[in-house]
Amino acid sequence: MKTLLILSWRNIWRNKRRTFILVCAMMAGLVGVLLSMGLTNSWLVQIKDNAVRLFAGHIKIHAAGYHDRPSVEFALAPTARVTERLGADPRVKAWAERVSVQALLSTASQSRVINLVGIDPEAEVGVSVILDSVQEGVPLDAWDQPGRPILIGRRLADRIERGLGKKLVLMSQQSGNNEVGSGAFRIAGIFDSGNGGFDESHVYIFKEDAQRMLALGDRITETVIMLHDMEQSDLVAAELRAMVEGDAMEALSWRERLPLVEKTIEMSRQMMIPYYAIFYVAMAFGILNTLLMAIGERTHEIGVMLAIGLNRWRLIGMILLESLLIAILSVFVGAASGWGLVAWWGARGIDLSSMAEGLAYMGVSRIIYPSLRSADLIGASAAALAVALVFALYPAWRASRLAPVEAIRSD
Amino acid sequence: MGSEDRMPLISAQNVVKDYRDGDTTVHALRGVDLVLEEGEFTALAGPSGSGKTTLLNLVGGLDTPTSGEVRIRGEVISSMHPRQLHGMRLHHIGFVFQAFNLIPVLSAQENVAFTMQLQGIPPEECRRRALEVLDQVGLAAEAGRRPAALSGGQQQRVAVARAIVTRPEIVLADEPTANLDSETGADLLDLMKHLNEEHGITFLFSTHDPMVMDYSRRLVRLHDGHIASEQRT
Repeated sequence: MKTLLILSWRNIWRNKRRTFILVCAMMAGLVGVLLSMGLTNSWLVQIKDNAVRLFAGHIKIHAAGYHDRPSVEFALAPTARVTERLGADPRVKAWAERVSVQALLSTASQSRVINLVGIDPEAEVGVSVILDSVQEGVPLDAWDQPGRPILIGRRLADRIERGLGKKLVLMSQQSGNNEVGSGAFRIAGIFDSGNGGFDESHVYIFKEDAQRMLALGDRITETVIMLHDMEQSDLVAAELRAMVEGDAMEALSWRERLPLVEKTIEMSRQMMIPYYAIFYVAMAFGILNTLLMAIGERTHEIGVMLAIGLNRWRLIGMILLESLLIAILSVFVGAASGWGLVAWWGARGIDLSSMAEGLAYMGVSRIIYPSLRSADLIGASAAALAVALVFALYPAWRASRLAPVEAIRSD
Repeated sequence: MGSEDRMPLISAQNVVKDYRDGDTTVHALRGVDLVLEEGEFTALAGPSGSGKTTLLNLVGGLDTPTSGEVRIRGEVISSMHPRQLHGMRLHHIGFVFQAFNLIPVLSAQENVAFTMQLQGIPPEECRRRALEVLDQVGLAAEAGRRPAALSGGQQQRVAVARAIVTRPEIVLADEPTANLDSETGADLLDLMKHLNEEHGITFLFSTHDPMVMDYSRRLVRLHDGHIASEQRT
């Protein structure tokens, strides 16, 4: 085996230029795959992160049925048992209580339906990035002007043509009666989350202002929870669900509340596979061509080796080893280069401002940060090695079918 | 392989070998009978196309006869399982080719050790025996060199070393002096004769080199696929 390894290693360097070209080609293919994976990850991660960071949180606790019909009728009084449990759980990073309903936002010239979110700014800062995204004006708790403050998104501000200090009216169904609650608010701050669709559809006021407007008393519609480790969302949600079920409440992880996000991510990854396959097909034909050429050049030598006692299985093994060694070299250099490029780009970000509008509706920000998971690197590299082995089978089989006498006669 | 001492080492009985060459059938051997005893130093001579290389290939199990039988120690080669045939070539037959046919990426020592490694002999013993045999053929100092750094004569000596290092019963040499000058060829033949006389290795050559014919103790002349004559010296 060691002899075959030595032989295979030396054989691949018989034609240094050809081997170098093949290694470069395979390396380029692998770098292409890794860059594509990095880019795909960047916007898939953004879709997920935006959904979680902007609004959804890792877990939400609310009345059973609220998720399907987010109405003020599902408002509940805060449960001490829940807050105590959250406070005692080391996996929980932060939580915040909210009043979140659909409302009608009106100006002098237009009206539109928006998501009204009543927040406690001090708690909210731990569960979403909205308050950090205020680009103009001040956050809610820094408002020191007359009137009740409201934060609106940049895109909404542009649509309704209102700026800082201007008045808006919000209306929504009150709880427990058939009345419509309303309130006038002044724009204290304008936020830009990077997600235009979100910015156009969400407004933020003080939780107490929302409770008053909607006749809720001290009731809330949801508790949003952020964990230290997002991957524990399902587990923690299941535990909380078991705890609150008896109180006609439910605890749902982001995956359960946003199955479309998870499915979109999974589907997007699957859809990229045919694209990656193009790179691997190119690698495959490179390997196939190179080995067939090498075997053609070495037909006589192979005939001699068969004559003096090399058996066909060892011959096949030798050729497969040659292919594998080339692939290992290529993977080593390609993986390092691909990883390095993605890391470099990931640190700087790629500005896609020219596509901002389209990206916004997909939940993707203007600037994307490519990244690779270990599974991507391992998977892409393993696929390259597998391609090298599989596509070496035919040349190896061809070589093993050579009749020694005929092969020795060839030049 | 059988162990009956009186049985000839090689016997060919009424061997016919035909090849298809497009629409034509080439009759390379037309009923050849040949018996070779252990320790012989025999040359198959004849012009190109006489069938000498074909007969050599049949004896070496590299090809199968169209009809007739070739036996080594009583066993019919053509009825051997491919694995058996391969084992026979690996353990009992050494080959020396006209064009040296060393593996270019292996050193002289590695080339000689190659067949032993295929036999599964431990690497350290392979190296030791390879060096011993290279010393026997006068090339111990060139053990680390690759074929491209050796002269034609040196390469052929390495090929002989490779052929004998596994201690085969027979060495089949196909025109071993064809690419050598006369002095180098003579040196090579001296070596092979020495191995034959000292170690009892049977040599069967195919040649049209008069010098090889002179060295051989038995000369079998082929012509047009038949044995035309035989003489012993």
